[in-house]
This record gives sequence, C-alpha cells and structure tokens, in this order.
Amino acid sequence: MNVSKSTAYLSSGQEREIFSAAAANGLPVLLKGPTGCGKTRFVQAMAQELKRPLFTVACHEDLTAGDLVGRFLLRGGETVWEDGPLTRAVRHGGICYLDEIVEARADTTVVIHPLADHRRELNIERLGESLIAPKEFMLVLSYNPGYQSVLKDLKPSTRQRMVAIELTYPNAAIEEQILMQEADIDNLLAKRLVRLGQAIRGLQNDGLPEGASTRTLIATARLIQSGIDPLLAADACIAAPLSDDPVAAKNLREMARVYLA
Amino acid sequence: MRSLEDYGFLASAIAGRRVSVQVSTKPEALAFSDGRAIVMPAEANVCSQPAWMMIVAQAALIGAGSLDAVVLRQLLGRRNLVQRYLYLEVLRANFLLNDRLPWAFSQSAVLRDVPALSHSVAESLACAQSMQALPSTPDFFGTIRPWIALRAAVSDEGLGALTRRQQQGALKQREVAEHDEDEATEESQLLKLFQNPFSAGNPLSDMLNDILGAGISKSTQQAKQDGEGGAEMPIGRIERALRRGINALISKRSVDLPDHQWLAEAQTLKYPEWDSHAKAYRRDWVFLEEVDPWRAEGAQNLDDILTPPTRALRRQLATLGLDHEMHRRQGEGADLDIGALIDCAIDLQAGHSPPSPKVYRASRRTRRDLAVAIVLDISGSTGEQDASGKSAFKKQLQLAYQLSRTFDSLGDTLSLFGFHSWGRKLVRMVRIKGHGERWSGVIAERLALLEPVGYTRIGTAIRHGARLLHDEVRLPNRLLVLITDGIAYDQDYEHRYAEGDARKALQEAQAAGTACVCLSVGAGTEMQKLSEVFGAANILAVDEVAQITGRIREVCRKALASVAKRKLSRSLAGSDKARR
Ligand SMILES: Nc1ncnc2c1ncn2[C@@H]1O[C@H](COP(=O)(O)OP(=O)(O)OP(=O)(O)O)[C@@H](O)[C@H]1O
Ligand SMILES: [Mg+2]
Repeated sequence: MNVSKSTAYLSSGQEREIFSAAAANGLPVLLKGPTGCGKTRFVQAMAQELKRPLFTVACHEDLTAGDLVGRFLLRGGETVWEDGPLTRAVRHGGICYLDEIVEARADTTVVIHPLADHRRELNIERLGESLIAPKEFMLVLSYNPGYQSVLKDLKPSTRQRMVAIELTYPNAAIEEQILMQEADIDNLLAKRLVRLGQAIRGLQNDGLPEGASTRTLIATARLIQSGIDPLLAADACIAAPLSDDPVAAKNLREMARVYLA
Repeated sequence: MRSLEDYGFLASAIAGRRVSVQVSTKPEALAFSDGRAIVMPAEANVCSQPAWMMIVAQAALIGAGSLDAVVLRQLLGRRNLVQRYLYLEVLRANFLLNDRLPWAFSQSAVLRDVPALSHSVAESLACAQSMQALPSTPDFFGTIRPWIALRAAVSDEGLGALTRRQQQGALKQREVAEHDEDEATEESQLLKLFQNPFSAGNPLSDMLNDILGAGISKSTQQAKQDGEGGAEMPIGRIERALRRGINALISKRSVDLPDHQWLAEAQTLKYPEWDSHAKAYRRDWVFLEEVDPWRAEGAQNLDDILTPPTRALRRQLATLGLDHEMHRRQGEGADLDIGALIDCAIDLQAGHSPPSPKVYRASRRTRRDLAVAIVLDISGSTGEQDASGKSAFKKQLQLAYQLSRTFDSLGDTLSLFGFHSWGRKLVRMVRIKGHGERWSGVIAERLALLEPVGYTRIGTAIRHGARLLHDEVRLPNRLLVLITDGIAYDQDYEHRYAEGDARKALQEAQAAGTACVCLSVGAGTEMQKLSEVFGAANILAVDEVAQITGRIREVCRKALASVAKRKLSRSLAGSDKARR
C-alpha cells in the first residue's frame, strides 16, 4: 500500500501553514468543521509531515477522564496501571487528537485544561504523578459547529490559547480532485458526484440534518468503481445514511438520478 | 412509483430554500413558480428528462432571485418581454449556481458553453427591453407568471400590512367583518376589490395598492387589455392571506383590549421584554393571562388529527433525559470500587475461587427526571392552508397531541399550553394540560376548542413556559418545546425586535437550566429567522408530522446535553473557586 497516498490531504486554504506554526509554538489547535470534511485526514497528514506519532480519541458521552488518562486494570489478582491515549501522547511527545470533543462531558474535558494552557501539564491523580509535556506534544481538538459551540464549555484561559482552524467542505474544483485521487474515478464522474454533493449540502437545516460529506461522495465513487450501478451506489452511500425518513430518502434518490444522468 | 413530490429536495437544493413541486390543476403547457412552489403541467411525465429539467430551471430562477417583485411588476402582461427576461435569467442562474446544478442541465445544448449575458436582474430586464436579438426561449425553461409570483409576495406581506393599518386606525373592524359574513361571496368580493384598484377608501384595496405600489393600477389595466392578467386573477393565495389577516383582526370572540388599571387589578402576570434597539429590558411590559380554551362554535371534530402516537416515537423519546449515576461493583469502569476490591482480595487470600471480577465503579445512565412543557403557537398565521388543504395549525395540533401523549405515557411531567396575543397587553396562554394534571379525554377535548387567531409574541411564551418548568416542577432535566410556524409577529413586535426578544428569552431559559427546542410542521420557508434565533441544532422543521419521528430524539438530546454540560461546568468552576 502506498502510505503517502492514503494520508494525502489537499488543502483548501492556509490550514497547513497555520497548523505547522501552531505546532512549532506549542499551541493547541481547534479544528472546526462538519462531519466528513477531512478533519481526521488533515491531522493524519500533518502528523506525518511533522513526524510525530498520532493518538486519536473519538469522544462520546460516556467517555470518562479515565479513558483519556489511564486506569488500573485487574490482572491475576494484581492491579496494573495502563496509560490512556492522552498520557501516552504526553509521554511520547505526540499529537493527541480528541475527535468530536463536544460529545465528551465537562467533567471529562477538565483534564485537558492544564495541558492546553501555559502549564502544559498532565495531572494523573490516581498515580499521584504530574507530567510536564515535552515541546513535541500537541493537543488537537475537533468539533462540528453545526451541532453546537464548544467554545462556551472551555475556560476562557484555555479558549484563548487555542488556534482555531476552520475547515469546510472543499470547493467544487478541489473536491473533484479529491474524488479522483481517493477513488480513482474519471473527471466526468467526479464532476457529477461533486455537484450532487454540493446541491445536497444546500438542503441542510431545511429537510436534512446534515449534508452529504466528502466522505459519502468518496464511498459512492468507490462503489461505482467496483462496478456497482451508480444509482444503487448513491442510494447506499448517500440517501440511506443521510436519512431514515422514507420521503427524504426517496427525494434524495431522485436527486441522484438527475445529477448522475 | 415516482411522483412529483419526490422532487421537493431537488427543487429546494437548487433554489437554496424550501420549495415544493406541485401539479397544476389547470391545463398548463409550461412549468412556472410563485417563488415557493414550482407548478408543473399536469401531463408532465415525471420520469422524463424534460420534466426534471423544467424543475431545475425554475428552481434555479428562484435561487438566482429572478422572481424579484420590482421586476415582476414591469413584466405584468407582457408575454414577449417575459420570455426574453426568462432566457437571460436562466443563463445568469446557470452561471451563478453552476456548482450545484446537474451536469446534464448545464451541458444541455442550449446552455453548454453559453456565457451569461447579464449579471443582475436589473441588467437582465434592461437587456430584455432592448432591441438585442436573443435566441428563442426553450420550453424546458418553463415560464414566468408575474401575477402569480407577485401574489405570493403579497401574501407574505399581507399580515404585516393589515396589522400596521389596524394600528394606525386605518382599518375599521366593522368594514372588514362585512366581507367575512358570507363565506360563499367572500372570494368574489375580494376578487372584485382586487380587480378594481380605484375603489378608493376601501381598506383592502388600499392595502394592496400600498404593497404593490401605485404602479399596480396601470399594470392591471394593461394586463386586462393583453388578456393575460385576467386569466391569472388571484383567488387562492391572496384570498388566503387576506383571510389570515382578517382572522387575526377580528377574533371570533371580541377582544376589548384592557387598560392599564384593569390589568393591574386583574390576575395577570407581568413579563419583561428585551428591547434590542435600546439594548435594555422593558420591565413589566407584557401582560399575560392563563385561560381555558373556549370556542364559540363548540369543539371541532379532530378525530383524524388527534391520532395515537406511534411506538417508534415512544422508542425515540424513551431514552431522553437519562442521568449519569455512579454504580458500584461493575465489571468494568473508570474507577476501582475499593469495597469490592477488598472483598476480592479477601476472597483471593482465603482461597475462595473465583473471586468476583466486579471491582469497578462506573457511571451509567439510569435515572430519568424529565419535565416537559410544550407551548403551541395558535396564532392566526398558523391557520393558513397549504395546497393539500391542511393548515399548519392542524398539523401542529397533531404533533402537540402525539408528543404530549408520548411524554406523559413515559412518566414524564408534562404540561401543554397554546399561546396567542393581541399586543403586549393581552398575551394569552391557553391551558390544555397542567403539570400536575392526569391524562384524560379532557385534553383532547380542550385541543378541539382551540382556534388559530391572534398574533405571536414568542418571547413571552418562552418565558412563561420556562418559568412554569422552573418554578413549579423543580426537576433537574427540563425541556421546553416550542411548536410554531415561525412568524414572530405582534403589535410592535416584529423583525429584529421580535428576534432579539426571542433570543433573549431563550438565553434566560437556558441559563436557568432549561433546554429549549423549536419544532415546526408544514410552515414552509418561514422558519429561517427562528432558525437563527434557536440555532440550527435546536430546530426541527418538517412538512409532515410523521417526519419528526426519526429526528426528534437527537434534537432534544443535544439540547438537554448542552444545558446539562453548562450546569456541570458552572458547578465545577464553582468548586474550583471554593478550593482556592
Ligand atoms: N482535503 C482532503 N484531501 C484528501 N482527502 C480528503 C480531504 N477531505 C476529505 N478527504 C477524504 O474524506 C474522508 C473523510 O475525511 P475525514 O475522515 O478526515 O473527515 P472528518 O472531518 O474527520 O469527519 P468526522 O467529523 O466525521 O470525523 C477521508 O477519508 C478522505 O478520504
Ligand atoms: Mg474524523
């Protein structure tokens, strides 16, 4: 497998430059952007470019501070401490990527505060240990502003040290390139799919909770590339995942028929 | 089977706002649009390319702003000019919206590699009026019917204009009431009024002249001479808009606005209002009374509206508001449970085997303490009927009924109120179910006594609902559900002022720990403003009640989680301070 290709990231703006500068200055980064717009891909690409290990945590409601920092496990009658991804990132001087930080509860996210501000320090209460992060350590948070703002949940002292990078779905020309690169399709099919995606995005807030992401377009393209009928592929990767509502799904299917014609 | 309704998304995506696709009831050769709906020829074969090309072209016109009222007035009755303008505007729209138009559309023989000839509606109009030779307009562009599009614009403005005139004392209730007396002749009366713009002194025609501008009389005559305008004379929407206004004006039960002194003595509640212009609260500004529903004609038959909620809805709402609680002796978890660990160690030492591996403490979601208040907009604007003859009012009733029935059966504390108003001195909350009240058939009966009249003072409704939840219920999880058609409108309560006050009321509720969501059914495009006020995540706008099922949980959950998180971070910040 071609490693460099699987993490290739096409920029839409100055995001690479900003990220690198933040990394060089030990500043945490806040990535804003809708689902499937390339946040994870971007962080992966940057980790590779900066040659730092990447520790990714997908946040959710039930995530606890222990899941991030670490916990005691029971092994044959003995308790053994196991580092969580955040602690590992601090120890190894890596990038800790907290995906969808909004989903985590506030009592969980408090552990990142001292890491994100000038202290750059991780308190492991249960071990009675406190780690000072090396300068390679970097905290990256992501969230989807369509759902809610994370900003009010962060302390001002933390918030103001964040470097925010706003990613959106790429414009049509770049998205065509991404599709051609990721799914190996020709330009004509890419054009049709991208237009379909751009149109569906216009329905957001107005019939659909979210738009068709770059990710869904890539999935569709890949299925088509594997010989699946285009309408079937669009149905499976776009219409069905975006909505459970039968009327909405039917409407999306008709859109696909028009756009892929 | 494919049907035209399945093209609503296509049209909306291109138009950039919600647009429906309908079939004309009259023999029609070409598609046209009033800016909200695209009307297709009855015989259009929906599967065929020409049919959807027409939809795309019409939607693109909406998206590009081609149905501009100022331009439309110039086009009235001038078919040739219309076709030239249409051609130029589709070209412009194709250029402007290219990235979201179907490839097959932009690559059609007529449009492929053809540059736009104008950059704005004004330029298109000027060019259309010029002598420049243009290719003939292809059929798949459809057509523009200026009258019909203008009519829709009037309907948008109608309510506001009527109210303003009422406030200026320019409308006499008696005069309007005459037209309302006889349902059968109402249409013809209005038609006559509209056709005869010179019947000066008549409040309705005056209003229309106001809205459409003085130019309307000339254009009307011209249209009549051309023989086109007459055929498109407004009955449908304009009449509905007017009736909507009339309804709002003369509530079927006469309302005498109480004066200050009386208000002070009566059992009214006073609420503040946020004046976004002055950036200050107006204290004790709004007077609110709770009343029981009453309808002159008695209850209406709502058997087909008040249908029992589905299990799917119940399943969706069943997991809302579950709280995190620490559980001991768990198989896995974030923390060790010391007690269990000691037992385990003793078991090991004593040779009891196998020791229980349940030595963790974990936080699990179990407790449910949810209080819900549903406040239902029953203002006159909700009474307007859509193409299918159903009003947003009826759909909202259905939604309110199903939601309240579901929440109640899940054991949540629930209250349900309707609200409408006639200015700040008279905001009415119509009691349908109180928090303490048990569910019974009475609740359906009360719903059947509601009537869509009056206006919408949304901020006060939010404040009252939130206050009930906060002061009377005192449960940790509180959810306020506002059901509305999105037209925040009352005497001295509109546009930025209304939005500013609604936003403030929401912030107050959320700061007090009450989650707020806003739902609408069949309200069309009116929700955009409220969506800004509530935040896109806290709003759910659908066309039919059934569509709410798949999505309501997520909206409510997010809203509840967001206030819960705020509470938690505040208490954490508090304990942080205390420690120092
Ligand atoms: N700019 C880009 N360059 C290359 N590939 C991209 C780009 N943007 C998106 N992709 C592709 O889209 C896919 C989805 O992107 P990614 O997983 O990074 O999204 P995300 O923003 O992290 O989404 P989520 O919020 O759901 O986690 C990637 O696997 C990649 O194939
Ligand atoms: Mg991701």
